[in-house]
Amino acid sequence: MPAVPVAAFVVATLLAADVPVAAAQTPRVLPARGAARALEPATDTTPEAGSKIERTAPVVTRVMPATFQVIAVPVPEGLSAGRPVSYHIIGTGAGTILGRRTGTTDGGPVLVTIGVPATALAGPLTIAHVRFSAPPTAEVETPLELDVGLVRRIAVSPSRAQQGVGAGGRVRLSYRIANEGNAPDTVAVHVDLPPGWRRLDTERAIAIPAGKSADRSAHLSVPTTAQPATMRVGLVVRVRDEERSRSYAYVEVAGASVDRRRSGANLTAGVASVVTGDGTASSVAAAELSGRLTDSIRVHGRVVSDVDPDPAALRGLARVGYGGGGTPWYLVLDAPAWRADLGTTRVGFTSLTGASAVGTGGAVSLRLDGWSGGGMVAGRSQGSAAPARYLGLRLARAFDSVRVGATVTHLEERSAFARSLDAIGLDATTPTAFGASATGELAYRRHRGGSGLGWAADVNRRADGGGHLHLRVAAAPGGSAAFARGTRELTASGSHRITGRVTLGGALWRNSDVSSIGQSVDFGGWSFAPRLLLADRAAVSLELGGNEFESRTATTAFGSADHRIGLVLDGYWRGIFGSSRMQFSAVERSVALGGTGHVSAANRATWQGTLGSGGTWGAADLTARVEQSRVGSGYEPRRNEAQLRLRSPALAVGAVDFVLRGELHHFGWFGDRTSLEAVRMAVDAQLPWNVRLTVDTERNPLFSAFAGGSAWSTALRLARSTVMPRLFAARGSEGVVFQDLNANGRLDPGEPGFAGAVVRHGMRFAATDQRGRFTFGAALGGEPRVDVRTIPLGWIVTGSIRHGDGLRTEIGVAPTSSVRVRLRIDTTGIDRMLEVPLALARVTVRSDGNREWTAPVDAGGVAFFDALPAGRYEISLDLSRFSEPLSMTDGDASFTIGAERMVLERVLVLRTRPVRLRRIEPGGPVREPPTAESVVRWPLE
Amino acid sequence: MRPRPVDTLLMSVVLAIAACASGTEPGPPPVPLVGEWSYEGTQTSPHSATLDGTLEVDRQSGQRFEGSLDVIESAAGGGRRLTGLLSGLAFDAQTVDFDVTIDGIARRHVAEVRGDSLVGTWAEVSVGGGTGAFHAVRQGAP
Repeated sequence: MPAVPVAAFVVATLLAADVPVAAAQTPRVLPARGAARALEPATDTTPEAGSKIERTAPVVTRVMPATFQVIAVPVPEGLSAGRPVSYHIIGTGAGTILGRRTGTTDGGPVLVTIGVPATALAGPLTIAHVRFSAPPTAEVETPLELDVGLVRRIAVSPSRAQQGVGAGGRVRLSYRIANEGNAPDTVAVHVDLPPGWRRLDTERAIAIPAGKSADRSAHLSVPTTAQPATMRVGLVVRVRDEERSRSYAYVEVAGASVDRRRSGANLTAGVASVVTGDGTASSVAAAELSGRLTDSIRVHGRVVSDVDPDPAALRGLARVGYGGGGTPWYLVLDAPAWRADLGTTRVGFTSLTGASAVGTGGAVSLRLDGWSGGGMVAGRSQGSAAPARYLGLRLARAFDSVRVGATVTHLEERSAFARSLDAIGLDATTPTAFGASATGELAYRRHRGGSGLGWAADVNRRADGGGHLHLRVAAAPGGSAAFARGTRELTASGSHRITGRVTLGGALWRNSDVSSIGQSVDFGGWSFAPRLLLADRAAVSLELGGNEFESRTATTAFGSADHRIGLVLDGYWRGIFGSSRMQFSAVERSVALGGTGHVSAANRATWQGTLGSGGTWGAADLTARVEQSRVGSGYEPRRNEAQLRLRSPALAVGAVDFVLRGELHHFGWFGDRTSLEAVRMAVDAQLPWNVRLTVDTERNPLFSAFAGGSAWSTALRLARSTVMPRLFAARGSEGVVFQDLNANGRLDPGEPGFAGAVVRHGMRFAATDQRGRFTFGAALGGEPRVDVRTIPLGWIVTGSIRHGDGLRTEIGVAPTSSVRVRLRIDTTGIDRMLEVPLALARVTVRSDGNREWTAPVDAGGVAFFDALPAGRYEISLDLSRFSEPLSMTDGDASFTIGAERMVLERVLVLRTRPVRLRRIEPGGPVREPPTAESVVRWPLE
Repeated sequence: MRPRPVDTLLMSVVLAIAACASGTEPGPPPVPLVGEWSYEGTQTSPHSATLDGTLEVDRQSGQRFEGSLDVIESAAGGGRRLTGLLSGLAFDAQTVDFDVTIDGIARRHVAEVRGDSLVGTWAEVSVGGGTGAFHAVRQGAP
């Protein structure tokens, strides 16, 4: 290094005070010890052999890597004595020594400028020796020792920036952790997963030496419910719970995995038991079937054994998903053009021809080319003692945008509160002005109490801005006693956004009905609710409204009327949502019984607030409610309630995934009665072998207080799912992405699949599974292609072959290697000046599969092939453009690239004849004279 | 110092709720209701169901009484347990009027007292809510 710039650098850094000058005490002279070993390397001038050398204690300076340090080394005691002392700085090769190596001092310290390597390991490092001599005194040597400070730096990066996986599939996420610090480190890599995802392997500590890296992977499971989207997965490097580095990999979820696309319905068999605190136990067994029976038919069914009618058992079973004691069996088959219901069947015709009944039987509906229709035949529901009969037939036809339908029904229940209906109806739906649709219906209804013509009209409009309008007017003779919602209906509701911040909403309703026991009921009411958006996610609403209600029988009449005003605030801020609703109402109630009437009026105030949040950490919400009611309002006078609900994120212990839930519910009456606290805890665990365990325990004094017995109730459900094969599965476009080990573009025996690639086919895409398989579920024309972003850097697609009917495609991918071919001129025995423009050469490599790659040669004689797949190659040279006749005399012109990525270099030696000849081509094209940069002058200057 | 808007709002809530504080109805009850009653009921709309359980009145002061209802509702779709606290008034020796709050919705019951029985009708005070009749028989005095 030139002396002037170095000196300038040292001065400048000293002036800037950025380079510390180490303060060192005068070293004490020690006996020489292994001086010869320390006085390396050979690049430094060594003193005369045989001289006696003493050694002092080292000068120790604390430094950091990649810095410069000026160290003041004092002249050893007793050496100077007023005489000039010469010194010689001898580097050990461990770092850079700047400036003069030799000189003379009158006793002042010697300044040594040290460049500390960036790769210097933490700890002591002897970087140089300063040898002092002042004849006739013996030479004295002072070691310079650096105490290199600790630098901890870890980097993590995914091996692939993006990869794919099917919903319900598994993905292996590979990553590299590099210790860029100067000391060994032990780290753990936590994988930050999207909700519902799970890591299948265990997070382990990794010890990495300084300057080294380690390749690791995480095996992830993607939930079957994952929607197609690109998800971000965080790679978080931690050392003793402290985050050191973070990087992200992107995983594209591409629909269902191959196995799931080919799987059939899911059959789940389970048992559940409920045990109350007093030891009473009840059990049920159930089987459920859900999923695809064939490519186009879905199935859904369930059968549950008889349930113990004990109240505690009913509630406990409902908590673990087996609710609805006595729920009969049902089976539904659903295809694009038809649907069949067996077992428990719900009556679902029009509002005037019967819309609310449940029976046991069967129903079929069809959808064919503008026609639709269906029929139902059912009897009394299982568990019901009263005879019943439900028969119906419906046919509808669509004419462009107008749909017309006809329905005939016979519905009859012969219980004490019997209902009956014989109806025939016509209905039509048509679009109207302003984007609204209108439905009209006429039906002749005959029921137990008479007959009449029913009619109904509905208008619906939904605006683009979010507003809506709904109007309904109907009259149905017989009311709910004849399977209608009431004898008369009037409903009007709507909302409209006036400005960007103000929305008005309101409703008006009136409903009359006569039940099968002669109880006539009238409801009426209105509401008006303007809402003002305060910010992006905060709003205030005013609630105004009123209700009227009256019930009459032959002997009794009672009714109520209330008017209310309320204020609602709701908002969402940084993942926390909250709301507050305060409401005041004035209630008037009346009773008339046996000729005596009573009227009471009372006020009521309520407040309810909710605060909650949810995220990858789980979810929590708290709801509180306070009520104050005057006697006569119909409510308890004073009441308060608070409920806290917690849910954990998806947790895992070994192969067990589970979610924890907890609930605490407080009921208080401000001292009017003893407050109650209900507690509920549950765990929902997915065990190996597709076994799911749910345990739900509850202590609810509300139930025990009323029915007696223990407040505790624990329900347990154990269920195992089995995936059935899909029947009559049709083939879709499918294939495999494989690792083309020999890069011949064909799938050969033993070549493994390539997982995690995304294959695109027009707008569709699929991800390869662990075996490299992919499927689109449907037959598609054209050719699928691998998204190269989802294969590692340096990999290429080696070939794509479609087979037979064109539905199966095999796509090969392989890592590539870089090969450098260097041309050298051999001038041995040539005593003349050679000018060989090596850039005129052309280098070609040919694989054993006869594929060729050609690369230009640069001025230095280097041809670079940066992406050659696996295989055996031969190098050939095109030297015809040289004026000097050249031939290859030495070097290996063949090489083999394996399945792993590698870097190769081949040196080929060219030689010319001893006598220079120039080929002159009369009349031929004039060769471009070589440029100065492309000419190698030989011998080298 | 001017009060903060939040303080003003909280104070308004407290005062408003306090204004609705309940009064008391002293005096002897028109008819003693405290005790356990066997409850049987029917639901006639919007769909039919039967109700079978227990009605318990655990306190009575003047016209006011309070208690609970615990019944099993059996319908074509299956069974479920319904429980709720009740609060009501006995206007005279023949007429009782009480509400049972089940899952936040009030079921209003009005019944005639016939010795050790209550006979009446009920209705949920909401559009599309259920209506029906019930019959309760006293099981024993407190």
